[in-house]
Amino acid sequence: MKEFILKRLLALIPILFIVSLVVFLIIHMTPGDPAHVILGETATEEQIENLRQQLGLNKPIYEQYFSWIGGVITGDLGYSYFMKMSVSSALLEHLGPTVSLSLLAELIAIFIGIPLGILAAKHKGSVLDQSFMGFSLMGISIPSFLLGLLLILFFGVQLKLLPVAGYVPLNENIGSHLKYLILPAFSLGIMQAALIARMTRSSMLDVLNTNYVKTALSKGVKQRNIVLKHALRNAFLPILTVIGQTFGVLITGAAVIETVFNIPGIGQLIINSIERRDFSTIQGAILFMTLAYVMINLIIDLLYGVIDPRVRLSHK
Amino acid sequence: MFRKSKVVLIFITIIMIILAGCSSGTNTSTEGTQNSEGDASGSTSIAEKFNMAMGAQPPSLDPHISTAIATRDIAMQVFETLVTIDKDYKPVPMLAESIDVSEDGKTYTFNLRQGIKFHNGKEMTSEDVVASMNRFVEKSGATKVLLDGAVFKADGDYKVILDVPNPSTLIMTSLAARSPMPAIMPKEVIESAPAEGINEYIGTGPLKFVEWKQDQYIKLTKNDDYQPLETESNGQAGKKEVFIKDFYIHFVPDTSTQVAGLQTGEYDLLLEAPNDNYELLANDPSLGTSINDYGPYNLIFNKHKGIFTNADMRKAINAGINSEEILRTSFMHEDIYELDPSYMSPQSADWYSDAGKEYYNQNDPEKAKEWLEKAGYNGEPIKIVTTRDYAHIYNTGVVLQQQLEKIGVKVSLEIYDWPTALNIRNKEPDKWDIFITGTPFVLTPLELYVYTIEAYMDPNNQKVTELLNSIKNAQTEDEAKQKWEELQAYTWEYLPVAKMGNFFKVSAFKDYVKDYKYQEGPILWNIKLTK
Repeated sequence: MKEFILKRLLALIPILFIVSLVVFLIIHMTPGDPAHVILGETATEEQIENLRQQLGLNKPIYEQYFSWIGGVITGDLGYSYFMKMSVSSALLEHLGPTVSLSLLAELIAIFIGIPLGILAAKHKGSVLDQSFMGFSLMGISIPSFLLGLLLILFFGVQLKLLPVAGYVPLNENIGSHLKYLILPAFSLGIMQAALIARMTRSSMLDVLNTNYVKTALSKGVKQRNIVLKHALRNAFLPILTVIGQTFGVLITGAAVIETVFNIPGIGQLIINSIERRDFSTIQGAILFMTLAYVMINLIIDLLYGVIDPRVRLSHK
Repeated sequence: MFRKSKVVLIFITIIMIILAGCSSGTNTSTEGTQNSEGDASGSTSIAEKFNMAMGAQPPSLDPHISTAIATRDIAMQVFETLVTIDKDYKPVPMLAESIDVSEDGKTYTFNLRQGIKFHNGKEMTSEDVVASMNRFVEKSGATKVLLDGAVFKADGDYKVILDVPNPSTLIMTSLAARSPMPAIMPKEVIESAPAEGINEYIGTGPLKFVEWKQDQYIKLTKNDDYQPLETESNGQAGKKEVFIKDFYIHFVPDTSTQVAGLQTGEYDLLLEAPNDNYELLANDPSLGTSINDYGPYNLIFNKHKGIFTNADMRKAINAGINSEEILRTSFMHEDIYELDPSYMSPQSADWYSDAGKEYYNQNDPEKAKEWLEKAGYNGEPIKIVTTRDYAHIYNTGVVLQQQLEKIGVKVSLEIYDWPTALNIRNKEPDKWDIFITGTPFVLTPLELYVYTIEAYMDPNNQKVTELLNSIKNAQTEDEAKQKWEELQAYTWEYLPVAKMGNFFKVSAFKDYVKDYKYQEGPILWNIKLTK
């Protein structure tokens, strides 16, 4: 187990190195100039050139890369001229909203997706099954930003039940925190719920047709116990994979929803940084996202073992 | 199973703790975003909170170096200048008590107002003014033309002397520039400022900077030590009073969210409402709108390289375009634009002129075709640079393409994101022929972007430089105005740009927001909330 974790962590090094190089090159080859953004559209060429010189943007690209990557190795992701803070602090500041939103969206997805999937599988071919799967197809098809705008219109503008945009940190007021996150979390969660529901249904169907389930049925075990204890646990591996993947997508920044609901998370940070050509923040954020994605996958792999003893890694 | 669920539970708890840790960090205060009612305590009613939404956060809050509009809009609340503009765009004293000009026009003496406190409690003296003004002269772009060679020096604690190499009637106006702005800040702030701009936002204005929550909001608060002038409020000049305690300026990139936020009362004021929502907002009885002067909307021809180095080609395009159609499609509603040939604001009593109007908005395809023939146009495609980042610029590109194709010009519409478009404009003259942009009005013709941005200028044209110098060195205001009329007429003739008209920006606000005014930016002081 330890060896497995160590191996996976070591594999991170080349991944991060390649990502850093690719991101750095792409960003620096993209036209657009942070000095020009700081000084504004109508700045003169002389002003822009002076600032470029002072910020070190005129140095050769390899020199800029090595000076940045040298910092990264020692834990310094760089400094954002726009935010006037280190990239690590900027990432930490923007991580809270994204983690909150992702967790809430994932919880919504799990609590809607899994029961719907189980019910659909149990009543395969029935009207219930058809309508649930119709709902899930709709959930997958509707773009999250459209759903977000519709939710804003209905719950925010018409009913005035929930705020339309903004964010209150958890440590300030948990009630307001949740109030601001409900609509965006639903906008994101519905799509993930649809994915989870479909996966749960098909995975459960496979398991419900196996011999041990039939044996349990013939032994007179309660159907509820069969479904929840025997079948669901065995059907859970593929579901967990989907949950892991969806969480990975959410945590690395639900950029569109964060923009629509004005949530200052990682996704919005990246979009804003690209718009203002905040090189060091874009680089730092993408490295961080890579790290987060790989770590989530690692955790999911470890959870396989918790759920299914057959894949426990220590037995390998 | 029970044990496993405990593991999952512990896992979730750990994540929640991490999350709580992340959320704490640098947060200080957000007391929800609902508006609170006016505070009735005390003799003057002071409302608790004002929420304004704007599209993007400023790239910097350093008013000396940044020409970004978002910078100006916030900096003008916090900082003040020696001289400011009144509602007719005339320069009038603000931090200066009085100004004496020597007979030869080369020496200006600013007698400073005494007892003016910076937001950090320090009293403003001549050393702060000298440090601020000399930095402004060194760093600012367009205004530099006017203040080239100017030196500020202190004479005692409350007197500052400005020496200029040549007399000019424009010096005072240039000291009232709004973007970049010759803001007065403490000497220490300037001395510790890194290259990318100041780190501390300490001015003398009616609002104090409190905090900048990146990509969320900037919080300003009432400056209780502010000493207003006794003269009546007039544009950005005169008495400034603050009737609200805290001001939150939220950055809300999505326009639908901005509008929904205004409708639900999340925001009290939307600084720049999206044009396609103008009618909806104007017809909403719970809202008010204000149409704010903004600036000229231009097609810029590339005179460094390519087909438009030929003046006849520029004349062909200018003769063929229908400005009204372009403006209507780009700005959506006739209230938000106006047809006007002047490069200076219609509100500018000193500079407004319609010289050269015969070349404006000709909409004459036949004449355009004649010019095309004369220019020897052989069907090569014209590259129009546009962006989807600003709906009006994109729409202009599309309509322009249709109009030019009608007169037989081939067009290739090049769509980039805005920073890339700017980069191409400045650095890659091979990649563009026409650039579309609207810029804010400026206070003097010498600051007009068409004459200050290298990419817009014609490297081979000396006449513009001569006329600009004659405006700068004019002995009287009348002479300067006359020279400007000459330059504007010449600009229409040789066409470095083709102006399509003026465009406005719409602010929308809740009906309880009273006395909101906009002049070269939102005037947040003097606003009252009547709810």
